[in-house]
Amino acid sequence: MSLSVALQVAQSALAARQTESSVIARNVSGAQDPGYSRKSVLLSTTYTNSGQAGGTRVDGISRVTDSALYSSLLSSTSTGKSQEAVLAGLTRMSETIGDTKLEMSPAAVLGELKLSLQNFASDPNNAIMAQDVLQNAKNTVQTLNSGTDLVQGVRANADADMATSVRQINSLLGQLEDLNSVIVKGTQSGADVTDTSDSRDRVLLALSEEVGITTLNRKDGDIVVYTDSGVTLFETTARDVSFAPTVVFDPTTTGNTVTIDGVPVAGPGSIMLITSGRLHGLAELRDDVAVTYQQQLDEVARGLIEAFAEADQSGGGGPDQAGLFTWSGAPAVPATSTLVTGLAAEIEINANADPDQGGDLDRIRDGGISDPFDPNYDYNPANSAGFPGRLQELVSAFDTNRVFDAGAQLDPSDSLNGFAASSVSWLESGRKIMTGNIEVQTVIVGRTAENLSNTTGVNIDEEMSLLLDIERAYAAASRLISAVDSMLDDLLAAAR
Amino acid sequence: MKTTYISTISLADASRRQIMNQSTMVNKLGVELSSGRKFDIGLDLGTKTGESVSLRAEFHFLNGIMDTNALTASRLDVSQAALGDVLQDAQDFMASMVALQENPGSAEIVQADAEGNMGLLISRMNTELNGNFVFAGINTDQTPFANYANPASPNKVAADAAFLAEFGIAQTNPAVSGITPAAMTTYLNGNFEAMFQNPAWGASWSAASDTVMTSRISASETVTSSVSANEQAFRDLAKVYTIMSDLGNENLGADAYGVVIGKATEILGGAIAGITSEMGKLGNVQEQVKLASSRLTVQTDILNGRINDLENVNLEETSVRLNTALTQLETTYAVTARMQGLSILNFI
Repeated sequence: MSLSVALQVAQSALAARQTESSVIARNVSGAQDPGYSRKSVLLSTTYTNSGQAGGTRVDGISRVTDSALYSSLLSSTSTGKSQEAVLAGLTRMSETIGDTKLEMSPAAVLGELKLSLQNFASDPNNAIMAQDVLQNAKNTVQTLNSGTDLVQGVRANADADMATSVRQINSLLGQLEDLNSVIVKGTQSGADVTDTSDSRDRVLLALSEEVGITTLNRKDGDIVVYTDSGVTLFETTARDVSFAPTVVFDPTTTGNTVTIDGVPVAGPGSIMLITSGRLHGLAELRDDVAVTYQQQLDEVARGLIEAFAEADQSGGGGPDQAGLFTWSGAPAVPATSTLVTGLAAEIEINANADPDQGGDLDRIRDGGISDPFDPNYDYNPANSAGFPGRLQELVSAFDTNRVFDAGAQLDPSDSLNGFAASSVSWLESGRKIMTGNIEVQTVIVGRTAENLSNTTGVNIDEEMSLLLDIERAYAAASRLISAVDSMLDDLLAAAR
Repeated sequence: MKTTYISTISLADASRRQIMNQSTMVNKLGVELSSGRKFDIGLDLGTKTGESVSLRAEFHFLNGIMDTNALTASRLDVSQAALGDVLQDAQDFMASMVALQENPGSAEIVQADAEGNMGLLISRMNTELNGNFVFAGINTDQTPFANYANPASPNKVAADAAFLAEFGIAQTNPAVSGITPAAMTTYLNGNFEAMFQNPAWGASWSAASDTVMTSRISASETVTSSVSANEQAFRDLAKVYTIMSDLGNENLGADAYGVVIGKATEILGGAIAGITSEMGKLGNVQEQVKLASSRLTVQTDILNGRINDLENVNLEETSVRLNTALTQLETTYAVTARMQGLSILNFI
């Protein structure tokens, strides 16, 4: 009978409108949540046995997704986080340079030292000038020492952050495991898993901040997660990510590797090296960027020892000996063009030239700092008070071409001043390039997130206008029911 | 069907991000405007930061050299003045010697003159500047000449000893009148001369070093910036004044006195020429220092200009940009406020 069918259709329409308005309520409440994707009600038409349309049925609730945009958001987030980690380290290390006006970079301090030597050379009998040279030399040593401390501090921080990142990854993988099993079971039983899927996407996004990932969808909403280098992070169960942090870093320390299921993915000797994510950026900072900058400081220190080395004045051809600046291998001078790891940390003022340590300031002018009792290394055997020769030699030594270790990533053939200035350029250019990259990456991430949000997010205005439609439809269906009711009344009255 | 779609959150987020960006920009421009320098020099210059650091070091170094050049110049001026005095004195002495040459009775006058000149030579050679003896070569902490007037001074002691050894009597002994011209010639060319040669000169007369001071007057130039009291001209002057003041001249025979005065005149002529030549050399160096300093001024100006190019901002440009940024920020605030008020709820 058609009237009962009409009633049935109207009833199903009422039910469907109610479901729809509840979904709209969910959408409106999720409108300000960045991970929320818009939900919609899946409707289908039911048919009676005779093939007549028998009303509307709610098949389920779906969420709007865009997997292409989503995966590009994941990868650009990973890249951005990796760059941010490196930039944070570079910015910290640029404290060794500071504002150029403050004259605190190794290059600037060397300039001050050279100037004080020039002043002393013009008046070699002036003990105050000698004191000034010594003070500047101490300042240079201090700059190199504290620079080393800072760089190693950056490495130690990076290492600690890696440990935090690994903990975060493990915790996210645990959450992922829970959510994934809920989704798989829910999908199989036909439950509404849209909100759980949103949560899983949020977890994946958080995971992509720590490590670059790719995902693979399988049936029943199941998901498999690989690192960008192809190591399985999650498949049904979470894989174990492990890392042993190192507490104290000195220039010779090598940090530990991060392993996933026993496969090294970050750190020295990694087979399947991850290429993005914070973890990658931190590992690069700890094992590459900071190490290179340390090598440059070490080479500046070595160049300084070399520049101030004392030559055999007797013509006997004795080896050069470490002068005003010395190190643990003294009296020998470190082998030329060969990096001595950690030299910037151990360089020090030779006690023989420092009155505070029982030395004699005049030796800066006269030579013989390496060994006061060896006359062969005395440049001024007569102890003439106005002897400027050695001091002028030292002034020139700053601009003499030397050979540096090519491993420090700077021009290996340069003067001491030039090398120190190049080191400043190296660091600041790294910072500039990285900042530029991040600006670009921020725009990419921002645009991708915006596009994704525009595709999958909620617009309250639209929801409200949809609600108006639903109200109308609800009213119409109710109206239909009352119409059918009055028709049935009429029918029953007629049949009475 | 949807043609364009924007989610509520990205609408709100966009204006929030705009405000953040523009506030950062306003902050940056404000700092630049007040300091006149770039907000973050290292970040702005990148690879060129090394250049900026080197330029600053070079700038300081060249300024330092200009300061030390001033010191060098004052040393040269003082040397020049002292040499001028010595030269003037030597020329006057030459004139008196020539005038009084033929008159043995004048020996006492000349002797007094020579003693005075000796005193002046020694005091000028011992000229001090900033605690350094300018004519001491690199032995700047040692007085070059001992005072000849003091009987205990090594130069006086040596002269007395040589005379005694040669003639068996002291200079003041009236018996010097017995010294023959030939004996006097032998003495003057022999043991007396030896006192003014190395090593006796270094032992009894001069504590100066032959090695003279050198000074760096520009990044690459080094010049000799002092004259040593060991130069031949000063030895000759010392010789002449010793001859004329302390050979017992007033008691010498006329012939022997003739030999003495002849010798003295001969040496003095060479000494005057020598001092003039030293003064000429110093004059050249003075000129070099002056030129170097003026070149350095030009160089430091260029360096300074380059540093400013690298590190400073154009204030007019920055101030215009700041104004624009402020206007933009205000507009964004207004737009954001209007957008926050926009809602379909106001109309249904």
